Amino acid sequence: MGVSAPSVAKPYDRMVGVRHRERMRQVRGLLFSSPFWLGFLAFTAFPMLASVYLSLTHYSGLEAPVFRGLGNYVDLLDDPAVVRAFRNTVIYAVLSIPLNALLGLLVAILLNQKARGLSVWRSIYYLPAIVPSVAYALLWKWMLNKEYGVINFMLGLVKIPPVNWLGDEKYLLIAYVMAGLWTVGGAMIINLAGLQSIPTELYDAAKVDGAGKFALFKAVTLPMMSPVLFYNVIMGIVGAMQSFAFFFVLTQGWGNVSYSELGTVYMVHLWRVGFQLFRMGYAAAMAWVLFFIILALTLLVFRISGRWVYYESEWITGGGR
Amino acid sequence: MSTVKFSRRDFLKVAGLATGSVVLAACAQATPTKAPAAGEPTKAPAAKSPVKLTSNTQYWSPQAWPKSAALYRQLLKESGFEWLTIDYDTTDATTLETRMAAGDAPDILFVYPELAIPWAARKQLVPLTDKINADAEWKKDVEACIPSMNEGYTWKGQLYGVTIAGEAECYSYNPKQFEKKGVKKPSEIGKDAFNLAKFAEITQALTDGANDKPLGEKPSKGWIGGDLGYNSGFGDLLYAIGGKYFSEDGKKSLLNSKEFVETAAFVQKLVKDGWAANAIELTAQGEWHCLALANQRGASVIAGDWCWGWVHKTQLERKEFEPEMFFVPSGSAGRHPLAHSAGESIYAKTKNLDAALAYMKFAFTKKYQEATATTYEEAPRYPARHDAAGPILQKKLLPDFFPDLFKDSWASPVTPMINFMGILGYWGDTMKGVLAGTDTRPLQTIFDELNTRTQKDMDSAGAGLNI
Repeated sequence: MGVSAPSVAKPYDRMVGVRHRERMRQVRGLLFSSPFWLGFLAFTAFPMLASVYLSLTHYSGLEAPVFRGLGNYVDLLDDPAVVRAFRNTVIYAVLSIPLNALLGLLVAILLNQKARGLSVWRSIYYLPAIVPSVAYALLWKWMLNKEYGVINFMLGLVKIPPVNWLGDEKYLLIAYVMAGLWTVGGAMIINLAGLQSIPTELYDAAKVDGAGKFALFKAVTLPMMSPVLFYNVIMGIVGAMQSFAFFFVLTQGWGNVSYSELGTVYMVHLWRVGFQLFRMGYAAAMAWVLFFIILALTLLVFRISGRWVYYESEWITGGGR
Repeated sequence: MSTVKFSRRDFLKVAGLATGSVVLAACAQATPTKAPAAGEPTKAPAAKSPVKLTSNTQYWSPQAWPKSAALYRQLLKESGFEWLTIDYDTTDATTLETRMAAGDAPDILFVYPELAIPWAARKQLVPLTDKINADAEWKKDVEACIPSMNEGYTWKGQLYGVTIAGEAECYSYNPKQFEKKGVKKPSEIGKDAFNLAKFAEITQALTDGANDKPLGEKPSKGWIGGDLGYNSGFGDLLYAIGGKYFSEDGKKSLLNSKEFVETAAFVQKLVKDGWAANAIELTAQGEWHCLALANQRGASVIAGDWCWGWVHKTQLERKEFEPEMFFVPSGSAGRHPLAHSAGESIYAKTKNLDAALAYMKFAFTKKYQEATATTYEEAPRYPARHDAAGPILQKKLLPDFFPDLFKDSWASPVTPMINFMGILGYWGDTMKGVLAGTDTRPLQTIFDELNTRTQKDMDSAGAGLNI
């Protein structure tokens, strides 16, 4: 009985088989990851590229775009409404970002103390941050109502006449900032996590050196929290410049400044230009300008962060930028 | 029994094929039904084939709409349209434009003229005139409508919509205040003699410091026509002296014309002298009413809008105020109230064109318009035709001048270039500066600037339009 020799694949065939299996593995990988990359291509990459093209055209949204080069960008520089909307947005950002960061840190420090019912307090402060912006804008719309809002009611108790928060552009930015602070819970929860990650040894060592409460805060808490605060500032800039739903809902309705341009922020004006004035191309140009402004601000903050942000790991390893 | 092996590769093939098919199907343009040829009367589809149309609701009256929708459904059922149902959604105008761009707007669009005309220019609406001309019955119903109502939806000779809520401005007054002050009522003066000068004289005579506190607080030098919009009286005054917002073809803005600046000066003087009546105010309960109800003098109201329902529901029963109204005063060009309206049009890419046309034809009939008029308390509206106005509209709310309210009325100002609503914001800001006294530049300079900006916006928005 002869024994047949086991079939031994030639090296070439083996190589082809390996390549084939490898290729199939890659195909399968691509197919299984396709929900992401198809979605990314269709809903992120393509719209972004399309908006670059549209920003160079006259485009109403309802008929074919007409190419006009950099005309939209040139017009932007000379558009008082855009300048006003941008100025309002910057004022809002300048007022709200530091206030949010400061209040977020203070509340986090308070909620980092040993006290009874701490988890309940933390939940209470954090809850507004997870309320959808439309819902909390509607809530604030009622609270800020000139005739029957609770804020004017409270002002009335101390004999302050009612303020037309949403109908007078003088007060509108204050109303925006005030209402924006309601979501300070978002910054608070990040700060709280940062506070809890500070090694207690640092406090102990500082106490041994005779540091008081203020010195502890200045020499330990603040430096150790600076990366977290830095993150909050970056996110605050992006958030403040891009805010739309909250402002849009807050100012809608007769008697409010819904149609006025005086208190409009950039994104609401962008919406109006694109969807009410049939100027989608111009709105796309506005969006790209905003993107580059946010990018520039973020880079600027990164650049100056070296002066005030302290990274412990860099100190330990002697790293740096 | 044989078994079929289904390898992972097979599975991936099948899954890929199915996903591709679904994506292709989702991206494919739906084929609209063929429109009847011109000259062919519009016929309802056979009763055996039920059709469902979609329509966006009237977002300005969301609370009232369910009742109105139920009424329309009942009306269709009773009028031989058992085969037709309408599903309403809450799409607003902005979203509609996005949906149009995607080819997915409702079959029937709730529109205002200032939206209908730009949409018509951008080929988003079905033109109706050829179908109407081919159908004697339909034509008769269209001709029975108030001309300015139809004109509001007409562009380049084609009608694009039916009015379902008409409005024309007038001014209301409290007769008791006239008696108290010994001032002749406009009806006593006579229509022709009641001109702009007389209007200013009367508002001055009626001014009463004691009553100058609507809603419990002093108004900050109220105004009429505060936002330059047709809803606030400015347009009527402008038209009375021969001015207009836009050129005849809607391509040019005329906001710096001699008449426009004169009208602004007239209103500014009323405000400056403290004689002006405010436009519309919001009550503490969030209800619309006209200031006349609060300051007991007189105010601009939109006849056909919320004031009617509010007046009827509250003031008539309480006998606090009689909503006698008088015409907008005439100027050198006569009285030409603006007939603003809300209406319905057919989306150009509807998949149910025959049914939509049948519905549209029905919407012009007296029966449909009568139903519209009965909803005045829930969503106040004047029908497109006088013969459909019920006794309450004829005898109670418009006792002085039914059916003359719309006489010589002109369609509300529109331009095919741009959505008029989009520019009202900075028009309002400009007028606010003029009336509040914060902009002290010469009026001509202010309105030259406003006109330049408006024209620029119109040109930009209409740059792709071949009109």
